[in-house]
Order: sequence, then C-alpha cells, then structure tokens
Amino acid sequence: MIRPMRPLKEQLARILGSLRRRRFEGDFDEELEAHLALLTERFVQRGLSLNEARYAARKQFGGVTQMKDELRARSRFRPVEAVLDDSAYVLRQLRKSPVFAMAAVLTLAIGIGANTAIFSLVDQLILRLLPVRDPQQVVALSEVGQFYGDSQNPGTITPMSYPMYQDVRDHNQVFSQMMCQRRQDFTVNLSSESEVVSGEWVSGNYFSLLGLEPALGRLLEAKDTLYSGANPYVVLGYSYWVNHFGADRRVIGRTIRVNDYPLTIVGVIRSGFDGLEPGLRANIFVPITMIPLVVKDYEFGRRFFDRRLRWVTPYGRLKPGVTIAQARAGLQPLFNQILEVEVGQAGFRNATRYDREQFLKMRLDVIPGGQGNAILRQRYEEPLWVLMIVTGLVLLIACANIAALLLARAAARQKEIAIRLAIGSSRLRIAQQLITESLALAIAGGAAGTAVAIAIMKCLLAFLPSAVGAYDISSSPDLRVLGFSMLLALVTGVAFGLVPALEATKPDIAKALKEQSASATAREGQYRFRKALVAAQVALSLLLLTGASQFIRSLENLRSLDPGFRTQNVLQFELDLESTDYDLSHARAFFLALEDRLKSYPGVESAGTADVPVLWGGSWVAPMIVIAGYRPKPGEDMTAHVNAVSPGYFQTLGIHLLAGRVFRESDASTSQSVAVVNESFVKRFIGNEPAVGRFIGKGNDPSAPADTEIIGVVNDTDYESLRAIAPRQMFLCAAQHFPGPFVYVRTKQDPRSAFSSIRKLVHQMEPRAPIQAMKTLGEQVDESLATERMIASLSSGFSVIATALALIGLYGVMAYMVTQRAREMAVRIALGAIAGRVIWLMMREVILLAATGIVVALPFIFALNGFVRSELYGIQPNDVMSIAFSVLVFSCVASLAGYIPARRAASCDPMSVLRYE
Amino acid sequence: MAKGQALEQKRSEVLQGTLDLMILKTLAVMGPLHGYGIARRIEQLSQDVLQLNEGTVYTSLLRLQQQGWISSSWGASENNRRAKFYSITKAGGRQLVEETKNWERISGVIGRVLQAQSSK
Repeated sequence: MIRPMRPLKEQLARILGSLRRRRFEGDFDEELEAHLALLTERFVQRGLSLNEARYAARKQFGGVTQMKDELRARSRFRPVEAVLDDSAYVLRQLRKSPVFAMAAVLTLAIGIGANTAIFSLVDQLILRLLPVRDPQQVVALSEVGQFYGDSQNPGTITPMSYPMYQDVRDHNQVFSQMMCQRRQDFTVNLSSESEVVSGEWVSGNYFSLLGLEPALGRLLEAKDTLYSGANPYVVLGYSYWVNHFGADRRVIGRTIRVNDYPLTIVGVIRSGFDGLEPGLRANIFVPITMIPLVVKDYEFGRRFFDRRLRWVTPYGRLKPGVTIAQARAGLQPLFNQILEVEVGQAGFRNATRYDREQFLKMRLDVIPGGQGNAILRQRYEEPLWVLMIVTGLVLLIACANIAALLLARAAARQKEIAIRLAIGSSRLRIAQQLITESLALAIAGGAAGTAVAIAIMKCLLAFLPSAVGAYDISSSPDLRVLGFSMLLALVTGVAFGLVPALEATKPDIAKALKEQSASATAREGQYRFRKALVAAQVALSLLLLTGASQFIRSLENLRSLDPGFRTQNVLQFELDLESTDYDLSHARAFFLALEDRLKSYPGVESAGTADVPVLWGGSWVAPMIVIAGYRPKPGEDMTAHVNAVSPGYFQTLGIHLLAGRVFRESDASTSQSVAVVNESFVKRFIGNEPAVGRFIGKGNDPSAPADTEIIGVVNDTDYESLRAIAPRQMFLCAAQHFPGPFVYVRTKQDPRSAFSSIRKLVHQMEPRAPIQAMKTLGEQVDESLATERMIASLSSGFSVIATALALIGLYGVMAYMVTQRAREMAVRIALGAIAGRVIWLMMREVILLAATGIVVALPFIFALNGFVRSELYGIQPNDVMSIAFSVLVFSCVASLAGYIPARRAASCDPMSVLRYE
Repeated sequence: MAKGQALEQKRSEVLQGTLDLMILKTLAVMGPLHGYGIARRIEQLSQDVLQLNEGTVYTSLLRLQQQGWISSSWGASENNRRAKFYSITKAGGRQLVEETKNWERISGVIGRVLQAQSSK
C-alpha cells in the first residue's frame, strides 16, 4: 500500500479540486466541525463538563486547523493554484492601471485582428482542402503543351475534350475512379422571377468519386450520364435548398426550370460541400449529358464529342498506394497513344506539319485536386501572402511596443520586485507572475482582435469584385481561425513578456533598494533593450511605409493609364436570353430593338452591345487568323482577341474610328461578312498598306477561308485588364455572330440616375430575362483593379498604424530618457548651457535611433521588394524615389516625436528638478 | 509550507496506508458511514490498542476519494446534523480484495521473519 508516485487519477482529482476550491473548503470545515461536535457530545454524555468535553474532543481529534490546512493542500494542485492566484493578482494590478491595460489590449487587438483577418482569407482560399473523402487522393488532370483546336478555360486547370476524358477514364491503370465537371451559370426559374445561379455540369460519378452523401433523396450516379439528354435531373446544394426551398423535404420529384428546360430534383447534398471551386459556391448540379437540351445553340452542346474542343476538367481518385508521380508516369503512354490516333483523324486534315509535331509533344500532367479548381486562389494567392507579411510586421511592431510598455511598468515596480526577491521569493515565481500578466493582456488582445478581424474581413470582402460570381467567403471566423488567433495571442504574450520579465527580476536587489526614487532605478541593460526595440520598430515601419508607397504609386500608374475608351457616363449590364425560348435570329432582332429603344430614351446619348465585356478578365481568342496575302511562318503566333459588337458599341465606349466605317444596321446575316480591326492588328498583319477592303478569316488552321472584309480600323483598347498590353483585336458584327449579352449605355448625366429607368425599360421588353451586374464603367475599371486597390489601401492603412505605433514607442523611450537625465540636464542648464544645446543632446539620441533603424531596414527593403515585384506596375522595384520619400517622411515625424520630450527637458526649471532629487 | 508538507507525509505514510485499508474494510462491512462513524467503528474494533488522531481519518478519506475507491454524498446524521456519508465503490471493492491479500502476505512474511529471529 506504499505508493511512491501519486497516480494520475489523484493528480486529476487535485486539479479539479483546485478549480472548485471554494466548495471544497466549505465542505471540509463543515465536516470537521460536525465531527468535533459529535465527539464533544459523546464526552458530555460520559459526564464531562462542556468545556472539558470540548478539550477532550480536540485532543482526540488532533489539531483542527492543521488538519484543515492539510486537507486543503492535499485537495489542490500547486501549479494550477499558482496560476489562479497570479491571474487574480494580475487582474487587480491591471484594474489599477486601466490606461496601460487599454493601450496594450488595443495595440494587440489591431495586431492580432489584422493577422486573423488575413489568415482567415488565406485559410479559406489557399490552405483549406475540399470537404470530400480523402482529398489527398483526389487529383486533377491538365494537358500541357500546344493543343490543336479550341479551348474553353473554365478555371486554372487546362481542360480536356470530352472524348479524351472518356478514353483516359476507360483505359487508365492508376485511378480507382474518374469524373469530369465544368462550372456554369444557370438561369433558374422558380416562380415568376428568374435568377442566375452558379452551378456545375457533372459526370454521373462525380459524387461517388468525391465520397459525398445526400441529405435528402439521391445523388447522381454513373448511369445518369450514359446517354445524351436522357436524364433530366438536378441535385441541389444544401444551402441553396435551405435558402430557396425553405428546407422543404417535399422538393424531391419537383420540377424546376433551368435555362427554361424542366429538370426534376432528385436529391440534396449534405451540408458543407459547395462545389469544386473554393469561394464560388455551386448551387445546382446537372448531368453533363444534358447540355444539348439545357443550353440552346451552345458550343459545348453542338461539339460535345468533338476532340478539337477542350472544355471539361477531369478529376481522378488515385488507387490506394499510387503516388502522383506514379500516376503521371502511368498515364503518359496512354495519352501518347490517344494523341497518335487523334492526329490521324479528319480534324487534322488542314493542320500544318508544325501543328502536328507540337500536338504530339503534349504531356498530361497530374496535379493535386484536393483543393479544387481554385480561380480565386490563383488570383489572390500572391496578394494574400504579401498582406500576410504586412500584418505580420504590424504584429511585430505591436509586440515591441507592448514589451516597451511592460519594461516601463517593471521599472516602476522595481522596488516591489526587489523587496519580494529580498524576502525569499524565487526569481522564477516572480517571472511567472509577470508572464501571467503579459498572457492576460495577450488573451484580452486576442479576444478584442477577433472583433477587429471581423471588421477588417468585412472591409476586405468589399474589395472583391461584386459580380464575378457569387463569392462565398465568410467574414465570421470559424474554429480554425479562432484557434489561430488564440495561438497567436499566446505566442505574442510569451514573446513580449519574456524579456521584460527576465530583465525585471535580475537579482541585484541591493542596488535597487538603495535607490531612492522609483524612476531612478533604471538599469543600463533595460534601457539598451528599449532602444533596440525602438530601432527595430523604426526599421519595420519604414519597411511597411516603402512597401505601401510603392503599391499606391503603382495603383496610381494603373489608374492613369489610357484604356483606349472613355469611362465617364457609361453604364453596363448583362442581359442573358438563356432563360427565354429565343433562337439566334430572334435574339439578334431583340438586341437591335433594345439598342434602338435605349438610344431614343431621354438622357441617353448612345447604346451598344458586346459579346465580351471590357476589363472583365475573360477573353475570346481566335487561335488562327488568316489574312489574304499573308503567309505565316510555322509556329508563328497568329492569334487575335475577338469580340462581337453592335453598331453603337464604338461610339458608346468612345473608341475612335481611324479609317473606314463602323458597323451599320444594314450589315446583316445575309450580307457580306464584315469586321473592324484595331491598330495593333493592322501593324502586325498588314503594315503600311491600307487595311480597309482586305479580307481576313479565323479558324484553327491556315485553310480557314478569308471571307470577312475589313471595313474599319479603330484605336487600341485594353481587353482583359489594364496591366496587359492592349492586344490585337478583331471586332465581328453582332448581327452576323452572337448578339449581346453585355449592353453599354452612354448617358448625358450621372449614369447611376438612369439605373432604375433602364431596368424598367428592359423588363418591359422581356420580363423573362434577368438583368445582371448593372454598374458604371468606372466601377468596372475599379473592380478590375480590385487586387491592386486591396493591397494598396490595406498596406497603407497598416503601415500608418505601424508608423504610429513606432512613433509612440520612440516618444516613450525619449520621454523616459528625459526623466532619466533630468538631473544631468538641470545641472547643465544651471551651469549655463543654452536650450539649443540641451535639445541637441537629446535629439542626437533620436537621430541615432532612427538612423540605426533606417540602416537596418534598407537591406530588408531591397530583399522584400523582389518578392512583390509582380504586384507592382510602372515602377521599378526598389524605386529610389519611393524609398527616399518614405525615409524622409519617417525622419521628419520621428524627429517630431523626439523633439517634444527634448523641448521639455530644455525648458525645465533646474532648481525644482535638483531640489526634487 | 512545502517543507512541512513533505515531513508530514514521511511520518505518517505507513499509518496512512493501513488506515486506508481499515477504512475501506469498514465501509465494505458497514455500508455508508460518515467520518465520525468510521472513527467510532475503528475505535471499537481496535479496543484501545490503536491510538488514532481522528483527524487523520479525513486525510485518508480524501485520498481514497481522489483514487476513486470511495464516493461521498451529503446526508443527515443520527442527531440530524448535515454529514457527509462515504461508501465504497466497485473499484474500491476490487482494491480491498487486492490489498487484503497483499496485507496478509506481508504480515505473514513479517511474522515469519520475526519468529525466525526469536528462535535463534
């Protein structure tokens, strides 16, 4: 029964006991008193007097107080106890100095909040794996090399033709399953209103490959995509079901109209899964074989089995034990075989030898697919890491500031600590208490930081373009993110608390006790540490300032670019006729009529339509332009950006006609096919000869007929983004190709005032077609710069905060130094030193600190700038001007922060200072 | 404080051990009892051979409870005072069997050793 080690259970009971201390103590007291009372009674019954009985009872019981103490001690766990004691002590201390506590918590809240917000985005867009079964096993396939044919890129992963997907699916040895999908915006008609809903075309085994379960009904199966058009079913996403059907369990079997085609709801996916593109929620899932029926006059429908059109993204689940490298090696021979077969088919009839060679050189890449097809990730990954660095620096500065504050506090408490050390407290115990204080601050800061994070997230999300799709990024932090911010709080708590704690408890008691005034107990070591902190802050905030100034300058550069069109007083919207029963000629007539009605509308100057909107990020590129009389070299880049526009387009966007004419209403499907090209197009393919009247064509190979006549030349305009150089462009006539769906209207006054009346007009003409993304062209330009604006405003905001923190730090250390040297200064003044000389003595320190910080920062500035190169535009990284400017600004404010306390030192009354000392 | 605690543990270790066993046995035989009742029962059985500081019963009870061998609940004593009643748990029962065997073995060994010494 002799146990040298206390078992775990007993320790646990003790820990619990400590937490329930109060109750336990009451228990013991009452229990022991009851026992004593019973003993006393017993002795009274034996004939003792009450007093004698009491005495006898106590004797028989043993020391009551000692017993209580012992029980209490045994029921508790010392370390927990110590922490609880310390916490109570710390809270008392902090309540005594609310300004310090507030300042520290606020500083931390900003630092932790900023990091949490950015981390939340990083987590949602970059780190998180899809909520599917074993996401590490899921891979995507991507073709690498020069394809012969057309590609419709739906995301970051190069797509594949449907027959190619089928071949790989049926003959590979490395996957246990394969499926394919493609993102699509559908028009869903639930009641009278039609709504655009993002969703996915999926092959039947999509759900079984991902290991998804239905919340209701059934999900699609492989047999649902065996035959074209045979399975008019739709599966709903969970949140779509909840938000649009009120979580009604009777939806199974109901029919909804998707693009005006009836589909029967067969099931609802369990919650959590929102499709394969993080941030872009997919609400409905339709069998991919329904394309020919659900979308009318749609390229994928007509060319479903065409090997010369790549449009689906294939995914596979690796067989257990197969690595990505093995899969790659295993697939390539199969892929080569298929390429060999394809190159011998009719589709290559007109291909050049060069085209065939390049085609046969293609590779099939296997990439991790567990994160899905992340358009948003690709777009925001770099900016987010840049912001993560920025916020990390802000947090470092915040930590430095709080460390300085704690040092000052510890200095004020020097005497108390010295006394405690002198009467035998261990250094560890006191340090533990000081660390508890910094942890308490950190945890409070972390909690407040979470609130700050939510605010910053909301502001961040406001920067994301509104209409590019239904962005589905949550601004409320989840458990992972909360965990992150708490971890951050704890780490920072230890980081900024450790050095001051160790510093404050350095055991030279005698010296501290001898000193008379609390302010005079500074130690050289502590002071040096504070100066180092300030220099580090200076360096960090300078780093942020230069970064921010470069981001702002590059944003300004982008803004001042001439896109080639006039953005003032233009509004735009998208009108999708997919939900109507219009055929192509009907749609052409509709858009022409719409343009006419808009033009004659009061307050409207002109109107026009386009197939591809400007600065939207999307593109329509023709792989091969043929020009009568132009012989391309093998492998020469003959691509051009294409658009189909209406007669009023050029005038509405303010694009200048340089030669010939623009489209007329008489250019119709029955008349000669015509095109307008831009300057770059002429420069590249035609040169100095007159362009108007030349014949051109587009297709996959040089055999395409050059049957389209150039009727006009316009100035260059930006197409996908402001950053890219304006591409060579070929405008086709909407009446001869695709009309709409983007409508531009130039108004006489502010276009915003015309929003509702134009909406009404369109609704009158066609109530079934939903109007989407109505905004001004200026807003569209701004949205195309969303990333740049986000980085510029956040980094400048953060760097201002960081600079303010650094200046507070600088001011603090200077003010501290002034009190330290007050006596010396008073003596100097008393002996006749002039004020200027005294100020200079102080300022010398400031300048030294700032200069140290700047010198330390410079190499880091150069190093970090390399990293942000791709986020800059129109300036050299390490642009000397912006660096010099930030250094100058910083030096000025730093001097000011130092001058105020220096001035105070110089203007003191020497007599009062000396007398006080 | 820390030192005092350590000393106390050393001094009372053996007694505590046997006291734990006696209390477990008492509770197994008598059913739920409060601390006073346990002290009376042990006093009665030991017939004044064992002088016991009754307070130590409570350290023993606390330890047994922390081990999960006994449990406690509040109830009313004979004279209608509020009292904490202790009862043996299943784990406590197993422990009692184990420790009883252990005790018999050790006391047997010690007895034999002492006998051997006296016969020499």
